[in-house]
Amino acid sequence: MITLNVNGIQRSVKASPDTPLLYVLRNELGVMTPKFGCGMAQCGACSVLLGNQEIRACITPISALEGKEITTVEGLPARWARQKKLPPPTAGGALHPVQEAWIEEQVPQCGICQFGMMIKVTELLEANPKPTDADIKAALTTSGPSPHLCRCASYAAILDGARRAAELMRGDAS
Amino acid sequence: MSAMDSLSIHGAQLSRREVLQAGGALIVSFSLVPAASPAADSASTGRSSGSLDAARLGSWIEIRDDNSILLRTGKCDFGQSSIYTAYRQIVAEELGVPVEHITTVVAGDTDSTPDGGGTFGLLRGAQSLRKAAAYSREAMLGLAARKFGVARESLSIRDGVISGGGQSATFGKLVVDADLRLTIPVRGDLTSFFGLQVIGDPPLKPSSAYTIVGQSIKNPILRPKISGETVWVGDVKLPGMLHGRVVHPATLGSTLVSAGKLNRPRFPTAKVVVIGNLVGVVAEDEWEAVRAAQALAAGTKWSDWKGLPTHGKLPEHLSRKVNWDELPATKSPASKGDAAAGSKASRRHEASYFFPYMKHAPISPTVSLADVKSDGSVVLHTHSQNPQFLRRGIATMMGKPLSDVVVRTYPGSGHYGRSNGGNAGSEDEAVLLSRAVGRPVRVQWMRADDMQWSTSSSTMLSTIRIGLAADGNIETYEAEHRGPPMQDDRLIGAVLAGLPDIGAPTPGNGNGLQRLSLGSRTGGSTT
Repeated sequence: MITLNVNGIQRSVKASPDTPLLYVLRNELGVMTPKFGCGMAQCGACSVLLGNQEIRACITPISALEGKEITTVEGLPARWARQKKLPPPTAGGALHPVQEAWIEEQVPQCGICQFGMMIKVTELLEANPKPTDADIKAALTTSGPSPHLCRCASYAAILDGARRAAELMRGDAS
Repeated sequence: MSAMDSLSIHGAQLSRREVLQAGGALIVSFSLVPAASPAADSASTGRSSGSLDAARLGSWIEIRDDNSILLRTGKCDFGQSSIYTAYRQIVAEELGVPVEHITTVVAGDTDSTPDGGGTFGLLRGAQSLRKAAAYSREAMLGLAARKFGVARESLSIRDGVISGGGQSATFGKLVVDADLRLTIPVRGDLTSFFGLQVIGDPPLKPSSAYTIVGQSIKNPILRPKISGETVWVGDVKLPGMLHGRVVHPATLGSTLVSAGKLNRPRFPTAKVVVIGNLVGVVAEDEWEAVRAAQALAAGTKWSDWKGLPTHGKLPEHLSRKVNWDELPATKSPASKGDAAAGSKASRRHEASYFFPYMKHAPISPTVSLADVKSDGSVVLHTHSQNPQFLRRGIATMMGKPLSDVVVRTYPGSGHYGRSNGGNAGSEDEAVLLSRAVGRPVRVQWMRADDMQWSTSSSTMLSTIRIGLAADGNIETYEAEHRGPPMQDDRLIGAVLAGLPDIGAPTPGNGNGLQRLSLGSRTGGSTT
């Protein structure tokens, strides 16, 4: 039996070790924001953070993840609260600044790719609080196993969301 | 029944069913007006159908005594969120209430929405609700006139309050303790491609008086999506469900020679289902189903079929195989001047552009869950732009009455028009696998299923003629688009399994979008 650390909680899972993380999160642990898009690490809809780095849950077997810290969009508010030494988040309360920026800028259309987008932008902004547009574009296109794809083509809104999220995370938001 | 209990509202009927002890509402339902001429609705059966209780669930608008208002629409959300923003604005505008009063939008489910029809074209799709709202506003004014004992003409509406003759009342106050039914006229066929439309001529608010339509409002469904609360179709779990995958044929025309076998120790719960040329597998565990489908595909033999031209030969193939004049060309509404007589123009540009078949390619391949009960009735959970038309296709495939099929809809990946005709893949296959194994089945299409087997946008040939004046400005412009009937909405699983389907689109059968007039039709001149 493998133990996974998902959003700060130790979870024992019954799935066979070769099972990709995506199926374990969604079917065994009830963590639903990572979405199935291609199953081949080519779209980014299933992205999660492994420590501080984005990975594609659809191709990563859980055997590679024992004891490592996995964060999904569900865990972003608590991650932010820990980093900023804030009280733990409450249901219906403030979300992670990247999520709040996504709502402020009304980024999503259908929205099914946006969980992966927010994971990628969180990875970027934790490492680079003041990214240029080129940095944001590089993060979402050339830095990972594939570009993060949005078939609604909300890319301009995603750029707005990332810029706004950077402001919110730096605390210099107007 | 006293005079108070029935009121004619521009052809709609307002009635009071009974006096309630508590609560109260005005509920807008409909009565069906037969199509004016059979030709106008040649594809339809000219009737509503089965499972909808027109008096209760078939209501379009509910005005409650706490001033909250509920809308119901058979249209769904595919990312523009029009049903949660623009539809609420349009109805609020016609009613004369703040948009925030419209607290609930019930969308898509075939057993709880009134109209059906495809989710395409906001301005077309919202007209029925706009008229329903206009009938409702007139009914509220009629109620207020009686309550206040003043003439209808002396009343005005502002922010959900009706005033006149020195009195005023909120919408909620006017429906308190009453069970009011407004019955409005509609036309069409619930499960046809275009569904039902509200007809008649209730007075509509002039656009010059608009205060809500045209304003930018926030999309209320984004926060629950972003926070992770929203249940997407792929997130639905049915009690006792199995995970299914389908092994599609090697080519479009291949038939099954023999299905592969599964190694029991490797796939302890997997079960193979074969119905005609439909090969599928179900398992308790999703990853087992994925691996089993791969193993099954490797051992499954299909007949050779080489009926498709290569990509490079597609235009030539189509020029021989397609009757490009079977449907009249669609002429661009932007056309101006007489391009054919454009000899006066100092410069002319004329070219034809060939569009191949196009994939809509949602980022998440379609996923559906079906629960076929032992009596053969079906509840299908999916994400569809036309759930009532899908319901018709499923009922046709199953040989069941429409009343035995319910389609429930959830948020999902954008379809970009692909499921205008109901299906986007996986729905019917989930139904067939569920029927075969007697348990609910969730079928997730994989990326390859989507790219090879999903509905495509049809090919098109566009001819553009432009005449430029001496100063370089466009003097004449003509654009014509022609193509075969589109789009083919037959259920793939039904076709593979050899079961009844709705038929390929033809100019006569009303399937597909060819009957939707995008612009004026021309007789079709050719270049």
